[in-house]
Amino acid sequence: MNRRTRRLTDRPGLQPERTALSWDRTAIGLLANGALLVFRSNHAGQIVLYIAAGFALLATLTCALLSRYRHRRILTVATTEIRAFTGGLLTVTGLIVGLGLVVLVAALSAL
Amino acid sequence: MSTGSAARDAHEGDAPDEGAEIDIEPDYRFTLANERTFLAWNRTSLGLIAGGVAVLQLVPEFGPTGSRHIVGALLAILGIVVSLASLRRWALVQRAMRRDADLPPSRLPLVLTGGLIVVTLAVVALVLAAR
Repeated sequence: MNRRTRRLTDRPGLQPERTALSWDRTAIGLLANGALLVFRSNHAGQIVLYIAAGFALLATLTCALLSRYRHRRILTVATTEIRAFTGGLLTVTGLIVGLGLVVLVAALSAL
Repeated sequence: MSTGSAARDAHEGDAPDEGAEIDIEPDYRFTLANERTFLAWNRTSLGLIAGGVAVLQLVPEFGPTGSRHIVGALLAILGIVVSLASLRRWALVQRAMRRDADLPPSRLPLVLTGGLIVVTLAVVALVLAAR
């Protein structure tokens, strides 16, 4: 509806909301990984799982903060000034790859 | 397989006429849509990694010794590959939009499907190996 009746350059509409929700779901995904990592981790010598869970928790926090930062930025600048969020995307990729690597180490170290 | 397709993606991305095009920032809706697509792929990656963790944590021992750890490791590797490939994909799409060019073809679905088939075949092989 907004698209037809209002000038897009003035009103961002639902796009920022969907983007913020997408960021928040990603943060929840990281949190779920952290929860799974400490769930029933009673195997011998699985300290690496707790390290991984701590990492996942920090990653969740970082992702949530990125989400908030991005959302505020989108809402405060003119829509014509909204740019690609390269730093944030690099960060979240780094966090997820890091988590994957820790899980990989945990899997292989228990072999 | 995944590494090979990532390398081909990289080759396609490095267009020979780089610099000849004029970069104009696309409409913010396209920028945000590209960002959400990237995030969706990364949630897929997180799902794969979570699957790996779940196999390690929750699944009872099956097949030959260490089967769970092999499956968990495969899922984690697939998650890492998907996350890295989605970043590359995001960058290629953003650049194409800035130049008003056609969007580059994506091999990500192929990578994901192929990876899942590999994981599934590994599980089947490990289960059968114990019989």
